[in-house]
Amino acid sequence: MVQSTDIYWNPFLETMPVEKLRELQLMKFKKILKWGYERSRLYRSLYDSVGLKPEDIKTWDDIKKVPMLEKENYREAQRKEPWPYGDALCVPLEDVTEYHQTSGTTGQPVYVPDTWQDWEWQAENWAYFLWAMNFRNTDRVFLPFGYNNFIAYWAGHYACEKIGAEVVSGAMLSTEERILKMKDLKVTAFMATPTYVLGMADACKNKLGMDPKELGITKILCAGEPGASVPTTKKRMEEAWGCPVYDHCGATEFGSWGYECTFKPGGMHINEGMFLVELLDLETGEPIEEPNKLGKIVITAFDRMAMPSIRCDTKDVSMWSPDPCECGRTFRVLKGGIHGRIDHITKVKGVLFSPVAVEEVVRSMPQLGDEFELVVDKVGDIDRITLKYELAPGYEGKEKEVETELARMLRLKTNLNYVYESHPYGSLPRYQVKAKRFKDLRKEH
Amino acid sequence: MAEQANLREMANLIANIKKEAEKLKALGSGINCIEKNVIRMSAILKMMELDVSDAADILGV
Repeated sequence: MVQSTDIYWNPFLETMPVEKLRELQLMKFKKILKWGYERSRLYRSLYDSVGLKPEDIKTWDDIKKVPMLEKENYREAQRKEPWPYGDALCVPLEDVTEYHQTSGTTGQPVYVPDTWQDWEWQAENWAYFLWAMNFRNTDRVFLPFGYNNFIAYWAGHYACEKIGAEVVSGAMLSTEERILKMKDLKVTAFMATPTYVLGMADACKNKLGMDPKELGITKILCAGEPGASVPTTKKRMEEAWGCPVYDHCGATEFGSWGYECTFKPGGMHINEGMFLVELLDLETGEPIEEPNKLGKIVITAFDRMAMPSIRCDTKDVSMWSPDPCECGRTFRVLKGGIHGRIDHITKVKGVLFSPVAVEEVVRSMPQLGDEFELVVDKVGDIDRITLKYELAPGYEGKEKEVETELARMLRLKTNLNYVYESHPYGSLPRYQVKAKRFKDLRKEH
Repeated sequence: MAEQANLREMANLIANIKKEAEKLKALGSGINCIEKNVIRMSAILKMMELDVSDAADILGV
């Protein structure tokens, strides 16, 4: 399945024989482990606490002996000097050139430093997937986001420059102004969260009276939420804009490590030249090698030096794909991309419940708008899930029929019953970055 | 493939350019425009090491 080398950003790594790739990963893992141990009080104390020295890691099987790092470890380390990175920092503070921070969805934001070399590395990783998604120097790419401290599209901006594409910032503009700017400049591609891709299409149709397809967008890159790997959400976006939508994944602390290619293998390739991605059994914590089994994603970024990520517990879950991709990349594929977060996969009425399954159903029904919200609480001792939804324009007054259909489909998909709340179109919150559609109020009491 | 055949040569060239960049940095020590621009050059060279030189070493070409 070897394709023309022009479809790869780096044919040497992307098509490297698997056994050589594993050799490279082990070599790079040992190197970053030594770096972290020697340079960071955070890693040294973590490894000393279990009596582990970098030289103890000799084989692939030894990797699981290395303790995992959680976001809380970073937060704890960052309460110390030098401000604001504390014990997590591995380079002199004066070498840091970039500051970003995590969104704070799960608590105090983690402050993330990068040296110029790290920043070049971020852009390099993005270049792998921009190339795989057919972004080229003939593209004019629009970035409709507020920049601020959110890392993803900053890195996307620099990566576009790296591959030679023209970048247009969409900061400080309203959604309507952004759409008009895109039309005026005849941009060919843009990047946004799935929520905002749908929100822009909605604004285009309902506020500006334009069909989004008129803009002539040829591709869209999504980040920040799993939506672009949820088939029904992807379909909604692709139908609205009339072009392919590609997913990628990453995090502020680890960098961007996964991407979909134009062959759309039903999941995301892992950039295994730059990252080690492990899938661990949700109950036993043992590594999963077989396909189709859901596991927790643990990540090591091999080459980010200022604040390394070594065996970081992402709290995201996914599974290996059984099939190689026809693109010829030997990088493994995570089937279905990110399936959700461990802390969102919870037991409701004794049944394992994932909000992504509800998204899949909601987005498959044309009678429903793009937005919804899920609230889990308790009535006495009984769990209750409320699904707040909006009817799409033209379906006003059809609540009863829609709820009957929703109940049937959700029962099949999730094996649970829901309470339904219809809200007027446009009244549920709209998000530009990360949507917060799931609330488990049982955890708040 | 032809690219594979050139892999070692590219890796060697990257190593040479890196050495030259270090020489330039030493020569321009204390001259800000040299020191700071060499940091940027070195970052790009590092990416090519990760992309190409590491691959050449592992593939044994």
